Amino acid sequence: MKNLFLLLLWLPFVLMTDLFPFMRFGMFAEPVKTTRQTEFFIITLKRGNNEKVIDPITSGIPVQTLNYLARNSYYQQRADELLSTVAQSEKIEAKDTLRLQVITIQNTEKQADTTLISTFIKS
Amino acid sequence: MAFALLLALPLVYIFYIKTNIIALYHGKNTGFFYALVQLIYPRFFVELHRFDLDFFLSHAAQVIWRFELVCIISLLAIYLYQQSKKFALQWHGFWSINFSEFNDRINHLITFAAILYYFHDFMESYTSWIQYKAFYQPILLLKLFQIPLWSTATVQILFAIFIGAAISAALYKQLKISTIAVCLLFILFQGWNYSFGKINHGFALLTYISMILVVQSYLPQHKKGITLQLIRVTIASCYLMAGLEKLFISHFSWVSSHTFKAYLMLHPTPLGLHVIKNDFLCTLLPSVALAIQLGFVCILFYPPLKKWILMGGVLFHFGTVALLGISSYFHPWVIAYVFFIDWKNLVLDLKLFHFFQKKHTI
Repeated sequence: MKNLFLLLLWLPFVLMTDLFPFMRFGMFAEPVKTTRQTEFFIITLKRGNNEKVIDPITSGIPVQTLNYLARNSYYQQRADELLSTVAQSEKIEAKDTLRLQVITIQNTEKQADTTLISTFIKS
Repeated sequence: MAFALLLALPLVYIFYIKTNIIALYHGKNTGFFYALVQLIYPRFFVELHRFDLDFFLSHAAQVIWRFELVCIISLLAIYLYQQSKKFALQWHGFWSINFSEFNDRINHLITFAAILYYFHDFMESYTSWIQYKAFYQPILLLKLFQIPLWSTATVQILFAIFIGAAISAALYKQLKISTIAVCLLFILFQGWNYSFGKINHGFALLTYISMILVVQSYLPQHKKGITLQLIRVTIASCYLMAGLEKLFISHFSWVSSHTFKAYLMLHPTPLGLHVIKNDFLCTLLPSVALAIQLGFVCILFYPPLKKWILMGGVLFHFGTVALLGISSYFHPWVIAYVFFIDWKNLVLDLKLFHFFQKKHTI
């Protein structure tokens, strides 16, 4: 029994992927080399002249999970659908603007570029 | 036979896996291989937009030689076990440790109280996941059991069971049923959470421990030492795996100030932005972190080092909170350290044992 458990415990390490409930501990393992690896997806909420990164109270889910959803939906061409889902939150008022943006770190010590992917205005 | 398989694997990589990865990367449906990747590595279809082909080929090659490495170590261990009486005795001695019920009770109390604390606001999260159900992509486990997002009312009942079972397990009551209920629901709740793209490794140790405690609840007291040792091996293995990942993936560039500065920039905190200005600290801190992860396994073989390794582990986790803003100071991995503490000795040292003795039969 213990040998089977140890086998399953080390399997994600060998296969280099999470097999939940057995996990691979590869976070922070990648060297920072390419620009594509250091991209951040964020959703901002603009109300009047005030624009800030959306928080868990407004979106309903943790910012990190939302950022993952944002990245996946961008690559799956579902960015508009994601923003319209976020806009259904009661905390988001009419005329509020949601923006999905990607921040790319071009050179880790010098420059960060922000690119707008999608905009949604709640009617 | 085993060695022939090990020799054949690189050929499988060259003639089958590599070809299929190249085809997949260029958007071709490769039948069985496509289905296999979709099942165990669905992130590939997002990550192929982020990484170049070499990234996936080098990772696939690593899977092959990691498999070979683990197999060779296991075969050597089996060979030693069969050929050397001394090794066999040491192996059995390692797993046969004494474990008092008092220690077991304290470990249960802390572990299940922590699980309950971390998931006390689960229903709030679940309500928001329902809102995002269009983006629900079940992870492998939930896919295998075909578990969708259930209605809020159903999950409320499950959550009530979870709370009751966690309290019962923490108080060492109805251990068999309560540990099974907590373990299954703990896994299910996390599974739903991770089906939205973000996997949180923070609860990995508590999840493993809850699984082992289920098995432990079925064992008589004199055999429970094996499960305690298995928990310790699991904790040490997780640190070792995390350290090895860094070495195997990044080699020693991980301990360069350049890499550490990039991580500090990506996860900015006031302390991190202060440290980023100092090249020496940006080399020293990741080096120490790597040494702690790789060296944690020594706790299993050199008991005198235990308190120093545990203190190092606590500082490591506190450091990631202070420098990178990841997780919290009430860190679930630190909670798992309770399994290295001999509570009976500790309370005897603090002269509290008689107080506890009145409360419980030991």
